[in-house]
Amino acid sequence: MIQVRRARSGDLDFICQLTLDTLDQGISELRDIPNERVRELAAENVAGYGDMMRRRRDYAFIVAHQQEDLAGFLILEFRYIEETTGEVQTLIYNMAVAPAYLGKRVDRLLVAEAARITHKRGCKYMTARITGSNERALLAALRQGFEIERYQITMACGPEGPLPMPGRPPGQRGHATSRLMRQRQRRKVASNHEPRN
Amino acid sequence: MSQETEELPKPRSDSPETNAIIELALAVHEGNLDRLPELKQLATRRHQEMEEAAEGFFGEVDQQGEEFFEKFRPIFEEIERAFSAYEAGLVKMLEFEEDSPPEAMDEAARILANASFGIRLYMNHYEEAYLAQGPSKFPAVNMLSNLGEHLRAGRIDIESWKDTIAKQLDIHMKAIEEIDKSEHKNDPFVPERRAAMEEVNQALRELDKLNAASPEDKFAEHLASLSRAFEDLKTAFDNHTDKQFAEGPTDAPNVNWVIHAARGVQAGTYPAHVLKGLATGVLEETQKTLHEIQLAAKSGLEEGMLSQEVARLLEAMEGMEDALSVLVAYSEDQELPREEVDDALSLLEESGNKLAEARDGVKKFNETAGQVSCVQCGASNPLGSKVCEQCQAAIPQLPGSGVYGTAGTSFQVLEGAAQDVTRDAVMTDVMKALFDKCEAFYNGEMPAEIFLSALEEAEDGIDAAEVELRKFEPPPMPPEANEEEQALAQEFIDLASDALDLLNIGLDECREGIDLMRRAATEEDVELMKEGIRFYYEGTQKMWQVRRLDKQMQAYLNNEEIPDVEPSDEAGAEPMGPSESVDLSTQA
Repeated sequence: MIQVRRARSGDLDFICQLTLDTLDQGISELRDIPNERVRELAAENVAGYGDMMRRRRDYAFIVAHQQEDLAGFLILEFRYIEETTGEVQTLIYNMAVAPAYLGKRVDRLLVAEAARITHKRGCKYMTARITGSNERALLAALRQGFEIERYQITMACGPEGPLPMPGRPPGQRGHATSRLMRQRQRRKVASNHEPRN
Repeated sequence: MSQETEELPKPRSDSPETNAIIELALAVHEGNLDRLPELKQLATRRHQEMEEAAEGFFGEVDQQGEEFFEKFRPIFEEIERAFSAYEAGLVKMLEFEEDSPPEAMDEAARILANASFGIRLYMNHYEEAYLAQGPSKFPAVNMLSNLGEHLRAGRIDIESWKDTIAKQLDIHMKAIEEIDKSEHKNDPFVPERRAAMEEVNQALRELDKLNAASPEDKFAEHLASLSRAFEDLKTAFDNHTDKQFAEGPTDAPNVNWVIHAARGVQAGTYPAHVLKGLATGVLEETQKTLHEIQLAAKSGLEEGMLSQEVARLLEAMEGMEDALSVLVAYSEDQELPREEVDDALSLLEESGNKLAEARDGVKKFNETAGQVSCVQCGASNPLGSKVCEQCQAAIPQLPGSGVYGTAGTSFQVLEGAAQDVTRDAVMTDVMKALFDKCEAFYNGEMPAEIFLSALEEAEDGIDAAEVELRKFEPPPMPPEANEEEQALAQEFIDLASDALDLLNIGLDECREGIDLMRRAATEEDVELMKEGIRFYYEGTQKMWQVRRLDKQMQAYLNNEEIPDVEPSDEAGAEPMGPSESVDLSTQA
């Protein structure tokens, strides 16, 4: 049975490695920054996780585990201020599930524990950010009870003004093809198999 | 020599849950490895409980807002550290395997015990600090006032109220017992201290009689009595402390405090943290004052006498800084060599005395110095006077602008010699004209080109004076002088050499001043301008000093009786300036 608990210092290696392994999921498909560069930046960032873990007032680190095997983690940030209303809430700073445990509702357990901690901290809301092209994560979040509150819109800029977003080269994409693309492909496959009159 | 292994006391905690884990850990340490799974299970559960306790605590803190957090930040940070240390102890136990060295488990148990103590300690500190908030300057009064409110509102029970009062009573009863047993019980202000403590206890006993149903004004009445009693206690304590510690080897009471505390630490009768608090406080004050004096010494136009006292002040304060730094280090590490500490104490004592003397010197100077002499009648007037109190003649003023750094300072504009070389500054027409131009430029009343051209002219004057000065040498030794005459002659030859050196130095300083003024004009830097004026002024003062000595030189050379070096009162003497040369005859 998969359970959740607060992370300990011994779990740090797992959390840092899983962060780096699942990094590509968080990169927007619209941008062209190379994955390697993002990994370099992330490596610097995860070096600070140890210090963050000790700051109990500012962060909560939660892990999911099955026996001694770690399945996923969630980092919850406290005192995150909602930009329009000024309300104090918590933010899911980062979350990831180990590939071997995908589809086993590990994310649900982690989020439920995070929500419970949020309430205990006297906050009414917990918020998170999901990359627009990560449809799988978005759908999972919506199934868990999250609702979309805000859109982040971005444009590329050039000497003449607005430019279309460059997009990622094929080998650098972290997500599977979008749902619309999949539907289009299914229709195409279906039409190829229709008997011709 | 046999080695004895020092046995550490068994780790333990006041928390039953933590103690249970420690007992299990010690059992494992002693070889009962079959208890390891039980220990790990307990440690895992305890880890979750600890995190939830931290969660709950910081959640409550967050709800109070950022300002509240900032107020008690140091305590909260200690609590956070204590929780981390507790976690470290648990993690060490969880990571222990059957083949791990047994000492690791003992270490883990000790870490846990210490951390548990730390959490309780800082939680108590927080609770006391929280309750001690209030309008009174006495934390105990605020605490009882807050608790009284909680009692009346039913948020605490009567036992908590009585427990708190009992603790306060206990503190003061023990203090009274110590005084009664002490050989110093009749020392000055000690009986007053004892009486004040009795007052405190009386007020506490009255408060102890109250309960949740007691009216609010009764609480207020006895809290007011308590507050008055604490005030009396503080006064008695301060008087006693001043009397005991302010007297000492120096005239500076705060230095005596530090010396007394350091000696106490050496003798083992004083806790080191008291020395640290005292020495750190005095050191910070000293460094701040030192910095201010250094700035003032750099920027001000100093009178000769005052600059001596400032130099002494600086020396004293630098000595104190060095000595106090050593004592602060000693308060943190009593292993420091005794000689080093003793040297620091001697230096502190010496510097403390020097400081007191320098302060007296400055005080006396301020009382009597800064007099300016009237050019008409010679009467002394206070610094800054515009009109002579004696004859009502106008006293020329140095324009009081920020450029000069000393607003409203009046100097004697020289038509004759200065009245008193040690007191009055000398201002010649040449200097005044130059400084007027500096001010005009600074105020935007003179274009840069004209100002720079004026500086060039002044520099030409310095060059010309230097050329003239090169012609002069000290007078030669008279060839047929007897021994006595030779000794006298040598004295004056040396004097002449010194005078020529001083003139050259004076000219160099004037030149430096011009350079700085030029830079100040191109870089628009007021501080540089002030510096330039100061250099030029100091250079001119040196040359004027030589002029005064010139009278003696002339008398010697003319085989006349050498007058004492005192200010000349001849009228109409030509003003001294860098463009003029000193008339030193080379005639033997």
